[in-house]
Amino acid sequence: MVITAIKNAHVFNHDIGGFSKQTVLIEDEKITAVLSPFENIPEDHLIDAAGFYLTPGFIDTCSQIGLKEIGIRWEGNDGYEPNEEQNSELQVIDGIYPFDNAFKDAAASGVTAAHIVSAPESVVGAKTAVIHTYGKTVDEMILHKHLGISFSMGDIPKHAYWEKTKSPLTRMGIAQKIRTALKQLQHANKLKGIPIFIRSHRADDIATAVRIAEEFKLPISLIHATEYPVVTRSPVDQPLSVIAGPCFQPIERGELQHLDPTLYSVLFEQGVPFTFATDHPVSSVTHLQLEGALALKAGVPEKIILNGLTRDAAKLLRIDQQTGSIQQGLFADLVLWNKHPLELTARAVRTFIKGKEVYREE
Amino acid sequence: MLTVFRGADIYTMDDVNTILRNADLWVSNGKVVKVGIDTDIPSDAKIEHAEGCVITPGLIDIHTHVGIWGEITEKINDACEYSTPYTPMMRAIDGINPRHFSFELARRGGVTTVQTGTGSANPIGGVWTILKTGGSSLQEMIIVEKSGLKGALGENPKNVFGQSNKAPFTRMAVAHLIRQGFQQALSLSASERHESLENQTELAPFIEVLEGKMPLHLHCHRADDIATAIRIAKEFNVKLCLEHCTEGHLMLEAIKECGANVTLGPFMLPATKYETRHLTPEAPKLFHEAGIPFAIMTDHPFIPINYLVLCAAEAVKYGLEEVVALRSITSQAAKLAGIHDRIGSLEPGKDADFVIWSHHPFHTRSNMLGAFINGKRMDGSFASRYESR
Repeated sequence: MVITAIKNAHVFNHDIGGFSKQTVLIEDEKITAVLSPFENIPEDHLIDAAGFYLTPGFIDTCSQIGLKEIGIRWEGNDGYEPNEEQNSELQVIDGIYPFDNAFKDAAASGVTAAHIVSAPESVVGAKTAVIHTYGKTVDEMILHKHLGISFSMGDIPKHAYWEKTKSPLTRMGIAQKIRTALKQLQHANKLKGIPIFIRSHRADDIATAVRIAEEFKLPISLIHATEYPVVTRSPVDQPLSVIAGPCFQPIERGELQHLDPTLYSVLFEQGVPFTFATDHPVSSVTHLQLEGALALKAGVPEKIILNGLTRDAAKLLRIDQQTGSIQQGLFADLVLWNKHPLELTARAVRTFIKGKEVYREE
Repeated sequence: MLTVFRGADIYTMDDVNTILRNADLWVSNGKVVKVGIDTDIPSDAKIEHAEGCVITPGLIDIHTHVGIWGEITEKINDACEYSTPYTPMMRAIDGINPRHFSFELARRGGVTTVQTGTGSANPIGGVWTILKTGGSSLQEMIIVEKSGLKGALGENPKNVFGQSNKAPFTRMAVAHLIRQGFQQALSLSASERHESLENQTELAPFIEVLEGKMPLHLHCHRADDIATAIRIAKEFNVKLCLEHCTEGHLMLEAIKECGANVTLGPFMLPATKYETRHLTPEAPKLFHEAGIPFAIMTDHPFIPINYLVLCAAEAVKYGLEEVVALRSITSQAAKLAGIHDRIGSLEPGKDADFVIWSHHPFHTRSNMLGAFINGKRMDGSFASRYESR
């Protein structure tokens, strides 16, 4: 077995939130040891990473990568199935194209895993999945085949419903559709332990999502949560987490008018666990790092941000036993950066997925 | 009344990119009076402390739809006159809403001047305007009322018209529509030409372009569309501005040779259509290496105007020199737009349009502390927007 040693890099420490010099050993697909820089190590292949920063691969906690391809329109768009009734029986892994050029961008930007969520147009979404951003078939990319169920609220499903059926759908109607779907899942005994993700922007939609969660006694994750800073009621008996943003995107809908990176600092100040997302191609997968930089600009501590991009994202997506940390036994999903990764001008120079180098800067 | 901003690192963006550390910026009557180190400040001057901060010229974006797209406030945008593909009579000033929130967004991002106008649905769209992002009236904000005739090549006209079963269906017909106005204008007699300008007929914008009074802005992404834009400009010997120029990095020699102005972007969006599939954030570096000057755009609302500075930082991330990136959103943008006599750098006699930052604007922790237009501080912080809800 080939042993690769990455030496002399500034390695991210999840607990301290800073970087220190360590040596990371990779054998085959896994990290086999994290050692002090002075230890002698057997290696077949040495990467001297002096001056570089090493983090786990970043994890995009809401993305449509591969499901909605770039550089093409309807032909490559498999994110939205209007037939609501059956949607929770659909699965995103049946729509992912591994040769979407966006996967190359992901590797080149230090994003090694993504939570694939179907498009916001339908109220009831498909079964979500977590995948690596490298592979030739979706099956070999899978980290979590059926993670959860996603729902979508607000003006996008309203508008899409009108376009398809020429009959109106109200916010009340959306709430009922979500309740009906949840009841059916409950009935079929398919709801237990399944995470629920709800796309919502406006404060009233967030409140409705929380209300439904309490009715069904379900822990939920809000996706986007644009107006969370103006939600004043302290919710929840049920655990709440937020897949926030993306903040870097065109502001063309009323629901987005108050989108601002202060979202991140408010979530932090209120102690709400949150992670980052591009919802690619809403923002590009290349800008996951930028979302972290915007959070830093808004005043969130570096430790919270870098963990939100890695370990905490893996926990939320239930893949923390496989990836998300620089830790013995986990997949060697690693990124070397030329500067501190929250610098606006920092770039990934080498990216590894399951120990394989999938990107190297020319 | 003289005000002195004291102690900042001042990026003047003059012709030699002078950076003055710990320097003073003198502002009086809306103009820059002096920029220097250890200046002799008169006792009656008002002093504003800016120690430890960074001052740059106000940022300039010369390709936007600020104030005219009407995103959020209008159900149908005011930037694309979809009724017909040939609309030379459309003037940006008739569609700009100076109260639109995008102007406030611009100021929050340190953008003090924008070029704005029609979108890219029409082969001939209308006449653009350059204006400042703050002021008490549209008239006061305007720098150049007629800053160029805007047209578009490629997918957008085909998509808006061809796909609705209206001409133009092909790239050939799009090019023909753009040529048509110039051909008709050239066939006029001297007196007809005079009359046309006098009455501001449909041909007047073409005559003004032919006479060199304003340039022709052509939206082009694909290499063939860029080549067509260059071909048309050569045929009529008019000043050309290549807008977007997405595949320009595949044909740098031809662009350099034609001498057209280039505005690059928005390269931070994912490629949402076929003609932008070769989009790369390395484009600014490649243009610079080829010796072609350029400005960087947001194309607001496609990238929010307040993120112009992030677009320049992205170019640095992909290999562009920092100072060139900063020039592309200040002095170089002003030069390409022909407004460098007034704005784009901090030199005596120029308008006092500048921004105070907590750190260098490409630094992650940098925050905009104040944007000034004609020496006047603009408000509109995010906190106040939230409180007003």
